Amino acid sequence: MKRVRVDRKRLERFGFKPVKGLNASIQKNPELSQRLKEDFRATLEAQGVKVDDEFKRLLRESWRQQIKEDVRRVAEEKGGDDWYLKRVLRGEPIRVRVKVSPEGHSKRVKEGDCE
Amino acid sequence: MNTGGYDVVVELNESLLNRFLNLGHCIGKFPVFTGVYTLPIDDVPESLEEFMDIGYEVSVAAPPTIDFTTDHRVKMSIRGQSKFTVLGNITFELEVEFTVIFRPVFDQITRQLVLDAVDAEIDDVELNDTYHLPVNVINRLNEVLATAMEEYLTEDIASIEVSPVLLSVELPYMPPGDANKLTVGLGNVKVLNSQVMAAAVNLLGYTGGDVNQIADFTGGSHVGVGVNESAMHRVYDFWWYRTIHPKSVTQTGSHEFDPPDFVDWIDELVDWVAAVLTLGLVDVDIDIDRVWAEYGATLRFSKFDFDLKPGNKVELSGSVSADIWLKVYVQITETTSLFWGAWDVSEETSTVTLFDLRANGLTLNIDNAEGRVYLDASRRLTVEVTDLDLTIPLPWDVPEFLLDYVVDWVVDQVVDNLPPIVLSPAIIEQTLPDTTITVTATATNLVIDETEALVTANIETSGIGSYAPYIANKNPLSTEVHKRDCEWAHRISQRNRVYYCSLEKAVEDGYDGCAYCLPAHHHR
Repeated sequence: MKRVRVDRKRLERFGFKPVKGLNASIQKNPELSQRLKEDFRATLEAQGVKVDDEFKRLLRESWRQQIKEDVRRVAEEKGGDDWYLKRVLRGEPIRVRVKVSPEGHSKRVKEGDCE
Repeated sequence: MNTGGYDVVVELNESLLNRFLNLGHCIGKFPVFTGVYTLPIDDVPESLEEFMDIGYEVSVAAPPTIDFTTDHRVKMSIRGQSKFTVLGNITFELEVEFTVIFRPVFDQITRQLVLDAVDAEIDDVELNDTYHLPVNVINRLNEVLATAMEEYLTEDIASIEVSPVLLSVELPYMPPGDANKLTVGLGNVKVLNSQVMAAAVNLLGYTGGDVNQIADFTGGSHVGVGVNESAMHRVYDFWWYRTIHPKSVTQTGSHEFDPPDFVDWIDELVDWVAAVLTLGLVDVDIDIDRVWAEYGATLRFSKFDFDLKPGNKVELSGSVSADIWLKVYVQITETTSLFWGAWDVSEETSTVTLFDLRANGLTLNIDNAEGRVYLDASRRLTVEVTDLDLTIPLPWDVPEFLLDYVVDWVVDQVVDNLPPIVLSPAIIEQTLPDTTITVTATATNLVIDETEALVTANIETSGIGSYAPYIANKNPLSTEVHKRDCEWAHRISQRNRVYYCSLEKAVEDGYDGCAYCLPAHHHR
C-alpha cells in the first residue's frame, strides 16, 4: 500500500495532557525529536514522563475518546451513506429486513431508518 | 375445518387400501388356516366317532378387495379355497366367495389402519364334486365352511393391516427414550364416502374432535393428511423443550479488508496507528500493509411464536440473545522502531490492535417474520422462514465498513443457525414393519389456512422384486423356482428373475421347485 507520512500537525488532535510539556520542548529543541526516534521510551522517561499503568490507562481512554470523535466527524462529513453507523451514533438499534433464500440472504436497512 | 378438531386426520383412498391388501396377500398376511369341525350328532357309536370329524384347510386364493359402501361400511370380497377331509381321508376342494364386513380401526401401536372382521357371509360355493354328493351333504359342508371361515376371518386373522404406517412418533433431533416420542391417542375412524375413509388421532394426551365434522380433502390423491394448528403448537412445544438440536451456537470468522473497503477511512486509520506508535510526538512514515478483523458471536435462540395465516403464510416472532465480539488489526511497515507498549501492539509482526470490542447479552429481536409451511424431505411439516426483521442493538461506534461487515455476518449467522420449527411428526413412514417393502409419498398439494395444514400425496411402494416370496429363474437351462431367501435365488441374474406371490402360480407356469429350498415341489 501507499506509504503515508504522518506529521505531528496531523496528530495534534491526539493531544495527551501528560506529554503536553514534551511537545512544547520538541518545538524548542528539534534534537529531542531525533532522540525520541532513536529510543522512544528512554527519552520519554528522561524527560520526566513516567510510563506506568495509570499513564497507559489514561492514554487509552483519551485516545478511545478521540477515535470516537473522529468516527462521528467522518460520518457527519460523509452525509447519508453510513446507515448503520448513524443509528449507532443516535443510540438506536440497527434494524435490517432480511429476505431469506437458499441462494443467500439479501438484506436491506429497514425502510424509514436511513433518513 | 376439515380435520374436525382432531390433531391429525389421515384420509385414505379405497384404491390405496386395495393395493396394500394386494401386497399383504403376496407376502403371506393371509396364512393357510386349518382346523377340525366335529359334526354335532349325539349318541354316535365310539367306533364311528372319528368319522364325525371334518378336517378343513382354508386359504385366500386371490388378493381380496375392499369396497366402501354408501352406508359407510367397509366390505371385503374374498375368494377362498377350502379343502375338507371327511371319513378319515376323503378330500373335497371348494372355491368359495365371501363377503366380510369390517370395522376399520386405527392401531395406536403400529399406527396403521387395520380392518377388524365383524361378520362373514358366503356368497358362492363351487364344489369339485367328483363324488356326486347328495344335496344334504353339500349343505352340511356349507355349514362347516361357514363356521371355519368365520373363525378364520374373525379370530385367526382378527385384523388386517391395510395401510402404510400413517405417522411416525419420532421427531428429529430428539434424545433416545420413549418419553421423547409423541404419544398417539385414538380418535376415530370413519368411512367418509364411497372412495375415502378417515382415521382421526390426537397427540400428547389431547382429547378433542368431532368425527362428523371431518371432510374429504384428498382431492383424488391416495392419501390426505390434515394437521390442526393447535396440534402444531403442542408438537413444537414438546419438541423444543426436549430437542438436542443446538439452541446455542458459537461462530467465529475473520475477514481481510481490501483498500476500497476503507478508502473513506484511510486517513483516520493511518493517524490512529501513528498516534498509537508515537504519542503524536514524532513525524513518521507508515505503510498500511493489511487491515483485518477477527470476530465471533454466541447466539442463544428462544422458541419462536408462530401463527398460521391463509395462503400458506406463517407469521413468526422470536428473539436471540447474543454475545458478539470484534477485534480489528492493522499491520504496518514503518521507518523507525517506535513500538513502546502503551497500546496493544505486537512488535514482532508490526501489528496494532485498533479495536477490541465485545457486547454481551444483546437481545436481537426477530419481528415481522414470515415463512411458509412445507413438507420436508422427511415428510414432516416444517416452517421455512422467508423474510424477517432483525433488530441488533449493537453499541459500537466504529467505522461504517466494520459495522457493515459485522452486521451482515451476524445476520447470516442468525438466519443460518435458526433451529427448525418442527410442526408435525413424519407423515407416512418409508418402511412397512416386518417387510422389505419401502413406501414413497409424493406430495401433490399443500393447503394452509388459519387453522390447519392439509397435505395430499400419492403413495408408491417398491416393486414386486423387493418383496415377492418366490423367485423363479426363466433361464431355459434352469426354470426352477426358489424361496426368496434361498441362496440359489440370490444367484439368479437380474434379467432372468421372475417374481411370484404364489408358489402354485409359479408351478402352474411350468417352474420346478428348487431341490434345496422347495424339495416337495422338486420333480426333475
